[in-house]
Amino acid sequence: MSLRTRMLLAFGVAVMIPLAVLAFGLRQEMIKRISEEYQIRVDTVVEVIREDLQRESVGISDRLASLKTALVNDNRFRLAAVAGVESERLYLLDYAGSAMRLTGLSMLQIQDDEGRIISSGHFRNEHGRLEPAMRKVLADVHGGVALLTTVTPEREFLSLVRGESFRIGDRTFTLVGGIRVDETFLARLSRDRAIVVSLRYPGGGLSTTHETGNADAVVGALQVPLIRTGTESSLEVVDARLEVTQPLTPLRVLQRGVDSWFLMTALGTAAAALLLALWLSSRISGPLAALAAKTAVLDLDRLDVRFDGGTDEVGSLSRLLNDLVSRLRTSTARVREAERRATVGDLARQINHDIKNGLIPLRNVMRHLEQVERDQPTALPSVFAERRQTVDSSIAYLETLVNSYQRLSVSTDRREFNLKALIQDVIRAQGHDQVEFSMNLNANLPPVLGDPIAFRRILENLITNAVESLQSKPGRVSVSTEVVDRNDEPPAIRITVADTGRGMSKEETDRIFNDFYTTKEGGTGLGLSIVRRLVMDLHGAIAVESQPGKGTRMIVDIPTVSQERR
Amino acid sequence: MMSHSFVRFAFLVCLGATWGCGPRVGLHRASGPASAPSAPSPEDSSADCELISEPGEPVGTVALSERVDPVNAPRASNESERLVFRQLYETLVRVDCKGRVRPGLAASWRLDASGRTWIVTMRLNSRFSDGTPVTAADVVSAWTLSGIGDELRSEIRRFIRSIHAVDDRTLEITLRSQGVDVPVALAHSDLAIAKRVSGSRWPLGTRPARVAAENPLSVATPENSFSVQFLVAPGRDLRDLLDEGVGLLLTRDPTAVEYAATLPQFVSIPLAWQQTKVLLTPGRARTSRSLSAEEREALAHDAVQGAARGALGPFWWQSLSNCEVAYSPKRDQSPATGRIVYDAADSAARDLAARLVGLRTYQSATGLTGEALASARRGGNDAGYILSLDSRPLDPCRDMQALVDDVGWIDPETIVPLADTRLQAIVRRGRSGVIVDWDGGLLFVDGRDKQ
Repeated sequence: MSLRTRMLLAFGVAVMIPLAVLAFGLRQEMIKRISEEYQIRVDTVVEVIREDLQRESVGISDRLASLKTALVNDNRFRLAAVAGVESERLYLLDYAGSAMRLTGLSMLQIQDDEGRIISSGHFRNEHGRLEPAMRKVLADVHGGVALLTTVTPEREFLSLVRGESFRIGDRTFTLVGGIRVDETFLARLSRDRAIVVSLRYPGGGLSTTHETGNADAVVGALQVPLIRTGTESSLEVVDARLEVTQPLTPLRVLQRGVDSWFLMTALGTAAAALLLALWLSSRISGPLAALAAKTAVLDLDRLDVRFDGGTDEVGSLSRLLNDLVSRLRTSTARVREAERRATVGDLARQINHDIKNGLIPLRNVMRHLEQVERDQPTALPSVFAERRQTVDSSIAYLETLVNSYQRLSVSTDRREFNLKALIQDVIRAQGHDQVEFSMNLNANLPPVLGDPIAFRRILENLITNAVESLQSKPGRVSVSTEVVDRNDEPPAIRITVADTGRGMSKEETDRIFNDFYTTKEGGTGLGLSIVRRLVMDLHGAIAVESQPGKGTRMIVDIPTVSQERR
Repeated sequence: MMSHSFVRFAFLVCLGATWGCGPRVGLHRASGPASAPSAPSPEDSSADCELISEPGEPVGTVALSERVDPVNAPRASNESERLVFRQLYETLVRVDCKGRVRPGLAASWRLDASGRTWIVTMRLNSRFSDGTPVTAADVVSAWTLSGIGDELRSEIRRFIRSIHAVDDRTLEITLRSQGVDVPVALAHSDLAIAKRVSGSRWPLGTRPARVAAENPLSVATPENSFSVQFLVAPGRDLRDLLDEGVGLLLTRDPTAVEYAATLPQFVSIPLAWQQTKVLLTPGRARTSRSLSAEEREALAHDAVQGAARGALGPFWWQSLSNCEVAYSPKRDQSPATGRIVYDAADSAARDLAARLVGLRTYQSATGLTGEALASARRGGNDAGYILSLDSRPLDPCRDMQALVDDVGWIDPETIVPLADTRLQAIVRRGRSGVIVDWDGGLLFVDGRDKQ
């Protein structure tokens, strides 16, 4: 996991979790407080409705009492209801309707002592129907007030009713009157549109809202008896429940608002944390990455790297690395010196050995010739002629040795030259019938600073090796140049020498730049070792890609010359 | 006494879905209608059909409690339209209050040799209200569908089998129902002659009067020898109209009648019992018990607010043996609802339906109008229907056919008569010139029109 990722996660944990906890806590506290307030409000409304119903009951009772007084004093009613005068019958039938309208009631029945309806205001033509139980049921219900399913020709409706009895002569009559209980009545009870008042009873219900059932609400209730007319003349008293409901919809809306704000805050905070983490991580990891990049190019052959840094921790690290590189540079110089000395020693021993090998035949020939001169002077010319070949061969061997060791010396001549022309000269000097040479040279190569002789030696070595890898068989040798970009450094010229020769194994490629390692019969093992050194002297790099049986690619990158250095 | 009335109504409980509560009561057979329309005689006069026999000023202003729409002319859809249309359009013959057939647009009529076709000769010099002559072709045109040859209109086909114009004044008319010696059916207001003309909402009639103004609506003769203004005020308290000085008001409203009785300047005149409210019950068995005359009287008295009486037989639908009525096949059905349906515009029907619900015969009552009412009746899916039938139809066969067309499932023998109702004419004293026809229609006349 990268430092940047870790920092992002750390910021997320450090910022988002406290924020979420805060939001959750606020939300819960808000729900609790508002729910409690709603419950108090609902309970208050229930109490108010209870008082309202009591007030309505008293109002109904007052109106029935007035009617009672009027009826007792009404002679036409007496004639019709008690004396049964037929001419007053219509007066009786219409009486309840007129009285109901006058008193503002919604239902009114006048029943005789048998419970027979003798006049009905809300349903004129139900006269004659028996409801003998009504008076007793109304008297038995708590407070004497109850809901009643009131029948009209078209429909039923609910009424809040009371009963009032009175006597005329020896007859007892009962007034049953009440007011309509409908959605308007319930809305009047609720007083607040936010509060829903519903009346629930077995088989039906009324509500101030059309929404059916709201489980997400605060509910208060009070019981009211409901008288239902059953079949025939029976009456049934059931419990109706007057429910006061405060839907939690406003709370849910508030919650959604809080959630939205929290979400927006969280997103904003996350974005800010992300940007901050990115900025901080780039401030931290950027210099570290730069240090890492510079460290990556560190090599024993490349110890000119300079680590820059400020006064912070990265600056301290840079200074430490600079010190380290400095010490490494010193150590490398020492190692190189030791290596050089060891190499010179090895070389001296090799030269000693080679010269001895060349001198031994000469010494033997000379001893032989001295022996012949001493023992057989006359045979000296013939013996000399006989041993001359050995002398010439030894001398030639020694001359070769001299040439070879001369090539180990390093040139210090550095100047600008035309690499493209140099490559073309080297290719033209090659004369092999079975080898196909090809060149793909960039026409706009930047100038190269170095010893053209050393460059020629590099190219001659690489091309000679490529030709020899063909092993006198037909094949192709190609040379190409290109400019390659390098991070934070001047571009380099890449010279690639490729052949279709025998190729090399991994073990071979790992050793080909070692001194005196050769795979060729009669080779000295110094060619590629010298090439490597020459490339290093040019601050370049050399690499090899090879596959046995398919060929080899030798890749040389030589830094170009920057304007300043020029 | 009141208790006795309630006991009587207990029988009504048996009217609904409960059948066979008691022994079958024999149906009244229509005896020869003593008041049935008869042929005119030379000494016949309509003088005895005047609403007010005393001489007086013509009725100048008439109050109407329902809307009047000329689109319906000449077929009235309510009492107000009937009153107005009667002043503008006439039929070939008319039947006066005594049931005597009187010349209308036709001056004379006779049966042809086959005894089935009436040769009708139109009044000489008859003219539409714009002065153009009325020809036999105009009558044919008024009864046939425009552009479809001589195909009769559906409402005409119920009366007429065929019509041909012999010449300008002579028509050959074959009626669907026969059996009387006068073409009584031709007096039905559905057969009134009218001619639609472009540029006028009101069709032209053949009476001398025409629409002189539309707002307020007034009808007058060109020479202004006769003029009536109609105060069309639907929804208004009729007592207010009386206070505004109207000369005539037709109503069933007991409050208005009661109020008029307190005003010395008005006199209330009951018109003939014109409508019979009946109960139709889909699936009702012919053997089911019906209401006795006493029960009907109690029902009408207690339930109906306004002039009503127990339906008084004999009932015309019980003597239709000579009619060619295409009844629908009888079907077994049980009602889908427990309600009783009535015409919401008919207060007497509403009272009767409410009474039946009050007695728990039906669960509820529903007032419907227009297509909803017609559809409910056609469907026959309700427990019961209160219908209003003409008590004295000019052509019972035609009325039964119309009923069958509207209520396909009807069985005449299961119709339960309930109550008769009638209109009250409240007339300002000192007004005169109003005669009453057999169908209850009022015709304003001046001295010259009296026949």
